[in-house]
Amino acid sequence: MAEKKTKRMKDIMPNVILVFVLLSTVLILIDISGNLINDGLLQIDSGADEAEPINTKQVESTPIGPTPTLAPIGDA
Amino acid sequence: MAEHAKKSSQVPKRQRIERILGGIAVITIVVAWVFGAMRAKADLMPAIRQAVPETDHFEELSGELYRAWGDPAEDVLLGYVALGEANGYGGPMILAVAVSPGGEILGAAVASHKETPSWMSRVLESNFVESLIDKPYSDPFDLGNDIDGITGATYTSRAIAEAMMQGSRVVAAYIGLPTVEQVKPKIVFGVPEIVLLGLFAVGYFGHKPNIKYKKQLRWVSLITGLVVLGFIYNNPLTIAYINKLLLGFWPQWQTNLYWYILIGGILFVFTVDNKNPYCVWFCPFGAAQECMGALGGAKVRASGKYRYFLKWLQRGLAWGAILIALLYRNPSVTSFEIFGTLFELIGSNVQFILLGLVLVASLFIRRPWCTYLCPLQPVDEFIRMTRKWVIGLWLKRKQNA
Repeated sequence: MAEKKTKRMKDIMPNVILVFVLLSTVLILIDISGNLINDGLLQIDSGADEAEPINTKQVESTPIGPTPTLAPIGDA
Repeated sequence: MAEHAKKSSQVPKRQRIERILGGIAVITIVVAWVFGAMRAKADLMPAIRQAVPETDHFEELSGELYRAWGDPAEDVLLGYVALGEANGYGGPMILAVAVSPGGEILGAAVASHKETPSWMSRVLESNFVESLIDKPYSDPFDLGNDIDGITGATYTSRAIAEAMMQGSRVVAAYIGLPTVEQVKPKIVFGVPEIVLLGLFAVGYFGHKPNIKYKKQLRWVSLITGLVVLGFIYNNPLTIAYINKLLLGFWPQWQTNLYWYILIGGILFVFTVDNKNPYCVWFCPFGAAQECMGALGGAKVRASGKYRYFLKWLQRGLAWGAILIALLYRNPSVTSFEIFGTLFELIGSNVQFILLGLVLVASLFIRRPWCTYLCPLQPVDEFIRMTRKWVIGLWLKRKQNA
């Protein structure tokens, strides 16, 4: 009985591993695609005829810090 | 008999195929590197504008320095904007740094960076950048002394501080403010570096055949790696770091000694001993999986008929991750490891799902991430294959001579 169970386990395991790997791979691909889209390196087709140039998001800057103070120069 | 002969002739054939595919992988990676290097540089003007949003117009003083005017007649000088560059975790980071005519930092905008998105957001959402505003250009911008970094994102914090210092000093030099003597970077050598050296020593001697209490020693090493390199310092090796080195973004050794010890140590032990002490003895994520395995009674499970498919799928993933990173010259964009998700609880929903899946699988299968998904495993195999090949060629030449 135990032998039978072990054999069955051995038969099932490759399929379980395959499902685990395929599922994980799909998640990894979604994750990488998400990173590429966030960085503007991958463009989702928005109906435009021409693809946007790559690397557009990377130049998109994040403003940080308070408003600069004015320093007038020259005659008042 | 005939079957045995067939089997023995199949081994070199498989080896030949692996070498050919390995060669193709290297060629495509080199091509991606060249294409990536040829791509146009990012336009930095939007960041320069955002560093001083009230600016009417900018007067270009040099390629990296601008004067920001507040009115069309150029009567109101808002300040200067310079580009400061430093090396972050993922590679070079460029900041547009706005500086007042008196030399104090007014603001900054990230022009380009190669950091892992979730880590960069963590730093930007904290008060770290705000803590640097109003600092004079003469400030040492020394992380740990006059600036507090963000826990778990030290390299990113340090890069922002360094880029701000560099940018502010470019402006100071232009407007003729007293120059500040460039302080040599301090060598960062602390607990993680000491622990790492200790773990390498344990890993190197621990796998020798005549070592007593090998199993116990390995568990001590694994737990130390998990706690110190994982949960406390979150410094596991990722494909992003390999990409970074391939792209030539070699960081300052003084502040990145840990990484040089890690990579240098792995390559050294590999060359001398053909062993990888990091993965087997103290990889924090490997240790986490083994702990789960100890709880669930995980075993090495054979993948049977899918063995080669799964092996090549893992290799394909690693190859694709390196290729895309080199093509876009962004080391961390394809880093799909879930180490930070476990050790710092930072990551996307997808990463948390993947982490859950891997941890559950670890209860039954020994090290499922390392065996089927980790992109460093194929890198390990490639180094092993190349080493064997080179030694074979060398021995052949020696025999012929």
